[in-house]
Amino acid sequence: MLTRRRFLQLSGAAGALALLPGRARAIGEGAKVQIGQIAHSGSWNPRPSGLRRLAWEVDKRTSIDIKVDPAEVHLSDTDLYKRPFLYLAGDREFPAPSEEDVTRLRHHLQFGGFLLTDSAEGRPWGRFDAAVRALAARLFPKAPLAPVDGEHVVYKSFYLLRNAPGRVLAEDKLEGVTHDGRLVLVHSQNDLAGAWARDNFGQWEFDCFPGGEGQREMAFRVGINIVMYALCLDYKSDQVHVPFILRRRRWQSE
Amino acid sequence: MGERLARLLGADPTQYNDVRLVMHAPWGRLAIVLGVLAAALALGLAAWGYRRLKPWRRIVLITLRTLAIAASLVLFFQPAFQLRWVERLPNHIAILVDQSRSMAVAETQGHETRAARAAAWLRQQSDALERTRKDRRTDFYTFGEALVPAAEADLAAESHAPDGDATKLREALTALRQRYAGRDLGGVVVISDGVDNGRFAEARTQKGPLDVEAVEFLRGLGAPVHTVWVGRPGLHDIAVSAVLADDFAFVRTAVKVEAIVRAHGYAGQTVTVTLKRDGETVKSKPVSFNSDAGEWRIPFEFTPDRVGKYVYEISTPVLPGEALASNNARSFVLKVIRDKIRVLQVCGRPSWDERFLRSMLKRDPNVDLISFFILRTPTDLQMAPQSELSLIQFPTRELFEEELKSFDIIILQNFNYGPYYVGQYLPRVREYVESGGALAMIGGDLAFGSGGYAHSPLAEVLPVELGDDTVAPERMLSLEEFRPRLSPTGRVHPITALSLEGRENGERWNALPPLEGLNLVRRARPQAQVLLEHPFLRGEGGQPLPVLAIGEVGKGRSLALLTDTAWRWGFWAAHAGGPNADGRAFQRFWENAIRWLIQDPSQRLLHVQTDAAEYARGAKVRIDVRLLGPDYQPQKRGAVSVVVAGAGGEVVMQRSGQVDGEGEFHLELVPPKAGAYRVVARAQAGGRPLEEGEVFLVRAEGRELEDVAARDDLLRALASATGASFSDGSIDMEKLAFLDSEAVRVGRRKDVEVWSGAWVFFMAVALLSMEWALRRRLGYV
Repeated sequence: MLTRRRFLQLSGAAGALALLPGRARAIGEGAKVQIGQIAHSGSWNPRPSGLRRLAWEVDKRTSIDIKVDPAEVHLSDTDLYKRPFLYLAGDREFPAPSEEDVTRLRHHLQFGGFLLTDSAEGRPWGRFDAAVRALAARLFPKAPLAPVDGEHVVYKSFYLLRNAPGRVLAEDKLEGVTHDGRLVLVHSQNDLAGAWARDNFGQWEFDCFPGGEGQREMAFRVGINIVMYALCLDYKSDQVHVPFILRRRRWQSE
Repeated sequence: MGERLARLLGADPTQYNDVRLVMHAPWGRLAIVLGVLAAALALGLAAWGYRRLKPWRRIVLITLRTLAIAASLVLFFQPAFQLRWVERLPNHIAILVDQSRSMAVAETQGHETRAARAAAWLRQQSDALERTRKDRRTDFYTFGEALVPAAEADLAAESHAPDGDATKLREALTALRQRYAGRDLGGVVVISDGVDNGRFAEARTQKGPLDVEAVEFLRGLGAPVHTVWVGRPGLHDIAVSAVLADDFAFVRTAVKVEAIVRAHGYAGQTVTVTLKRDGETVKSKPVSFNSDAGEWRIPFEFTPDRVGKYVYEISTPVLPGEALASNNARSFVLKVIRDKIRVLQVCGRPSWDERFLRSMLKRDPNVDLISFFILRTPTDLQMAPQSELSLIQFPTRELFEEELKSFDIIILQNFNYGPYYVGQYLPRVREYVESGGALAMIGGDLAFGSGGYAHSPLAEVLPVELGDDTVAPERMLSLEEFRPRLSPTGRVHPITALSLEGRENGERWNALPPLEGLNLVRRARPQAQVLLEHPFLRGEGGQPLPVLAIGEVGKGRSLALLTDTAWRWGFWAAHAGGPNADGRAFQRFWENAIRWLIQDPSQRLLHVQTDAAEYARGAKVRIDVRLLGPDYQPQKRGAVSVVVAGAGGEVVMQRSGQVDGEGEFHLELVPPKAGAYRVVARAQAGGRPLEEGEVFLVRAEGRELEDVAARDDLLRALASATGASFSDGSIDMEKLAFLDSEAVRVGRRKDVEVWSGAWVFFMAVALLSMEWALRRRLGYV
């Protein structure tokens, strides 16, 4: 488990490295990864700075070339496909999308897209959560939202994770919809963006409970792992990685 | 016997040498049967009537009655002794001489061969044969693969060197039996070394050289089979007698073959058994002969690293004094096919382009994908100790040194080699491509010039000329959005065939979403082919800059895709509607590209193949050449040249000609000798020279020389089963027992009738009278 002292050490190192010269980046803007945040008619952006901070962390911690600012997208957009990674958040119930929008979203996910849903309600089984479940059932009636097993590659796509906390730890694990052998929808009830949110003065907007700053770091790791999974799929399940990961899992246990 | 009987019957024994009993009665068969039955009935009734008499009276009366009936039967049948002068016609003796190759062996080098011993024995028997000629006709044959009539003089003079590729003695005896069907075969003499590889070899059991069925067969011949063994102990020979191998193997999958080595006379020696492919040693193993004669099984395991048809050879050195050198090596053809296409995908950073390519490759059941992605660069923040990360060291040595040759394709996707110490391996990657591998470089800010490849070894194998790498990386990139155009070559090339129909293919390409960003290069290499070109950016020389270019490098191929947004051909296109709404354009493009890169036979323009992989000596080899045009349609006109060369490079046939209307060119040849041959066909398509090869093997000597150790056990068993004699060549023909002739000629004859004498009649009457008188005296009448 990450201690507060360790976290501060690492943060210091991160700050120093951030001063290093920048890297060459993708050919054009089109090659960069950009998260598309779905704007629905409800409260669609309860943690406005959350995604931006996650993208910043992804950019600094990984080799992924990502646009820091998310794109606002609507399910009704005919060019929804330009953002393969979609993010849907809310802190209350949101209106059910039209059938046409659901079809567009389903098409998007079936052809390779990815959707992360994040409940900012801070408690399990809230009304946003119920709306997500209803949407998932409409999207993939034969593949219900189900807990993502701890052995799933999403927990080891970059960091080795045991659970998936956000600002809270309402549910230990993520939930997801699997289609054609891959997760197309990942759902968190732990308010991931709540842990990521940071104001313009560099202050964390919300405290993390019950794990404090260590839990916040874990929330970032969950977010980075999800982005990495969307881009690399089951890469970390390849045979070449298995012995290393097993060994490190054992170290963590000891 | 005949003469004594003739004298008894009062005839001159010099005139008659044979007597036999004949019947003169004119009765038919039925009357004869009825007569015998009547006699038996009369005798039975008498016995019945006398059953209560005292024994001695009964015996006397029945004896009298029996004699009387016998006398009556003589009168009834009218028998006679036929005196004859009989002469026997000569029957046939077949002498079979082994003419198989093993007969050319001399157990000790420089000494007498087995064939020479056989000829010498025949010469020794010439006088004896001459003497028996009036009683027997001697017919000569050779046998090996088949029974062939021969002349005694040729055999005795050893006129023909043994050349049979097999010894099929049972098959020869079967043919002999058929040849003498209805004729009088008095016996057979087989002269052989006892090396058999026909049906008798199959009949060998643990109990002996012949099973029950084989013994029955021999007895059914109805003639003795004398055997003369001309082999001798003390053979010195090593033979690779067999190779147990499958016809095909999978590339990069371990293959097991087993060589069976038979050795005689080299106890205590150790030799090296070597497996070679096309003359190059693949593996070798020592084998120690711990007994004077035996069989050793030598397993070889190796991993073919390339697809194709290859001639392998397993051989042993020829030791001093070996009886035969030609059986020390055995070749076989192994067709190496691809189980899965092994792809190495190395990516400089996770991206949508990487994600969709990986997804497509992982889904393809024909692809074995090894991915390695750089998830964190040296300049990225390290927010966690290594133990909390799933990151592993970049296994550069394993990928680019140990496993390099195992890959069918290496995809470097937006990958800069510099920070990862891969530069030291790039010469190897270049060699890998030049020697038949495939390289695809996919664009991005870490690829081509901006990836630092301009002066790297890979620059020489890419189909594009990279620009000056002293300029800022950004100047090596164009950030604009564009729609690539199909070049004239791209319109007909299989890589860019999203549809088989030309016009539809063009429509599909035009309807694809635009790409964004391009790696700038000077131009395509002169020998390269540009399939997709930029609509407005021009390279040095004024030609449109390539977006997709391909090239042949030595035996290998390379592909350059100078953008990192090709994934849009799949995901974007699926949503944009139009002819690509099935979202399969990206997949189809890469499937085509992979097939081309691995030189899939279906994408070759020139095909050459033989009608078999292995041939017997003297068999006709048919070679079919097929020439396709750049559009993959049969080329209706075009020159083709074909060269067939032996393993040593000696040209055995060279032909040139025009393909027919179907784009085909056929030729046949009979290779002059055993061994491996390589066919090389050359032609041109679309101005490009094409060359394709094929190999075939002409088998050396069937199974004959697998084991040349002479064996006497089969010949002993043959003789024993037919009641004949076995010898090692020391016996004379005259001492061999043969069946007498069944065919006779009758010179004169004379019948001496038994029944015509009056005494027979009087004896019958007297006997009946005596019986009547006796019965009367005893009071039974």
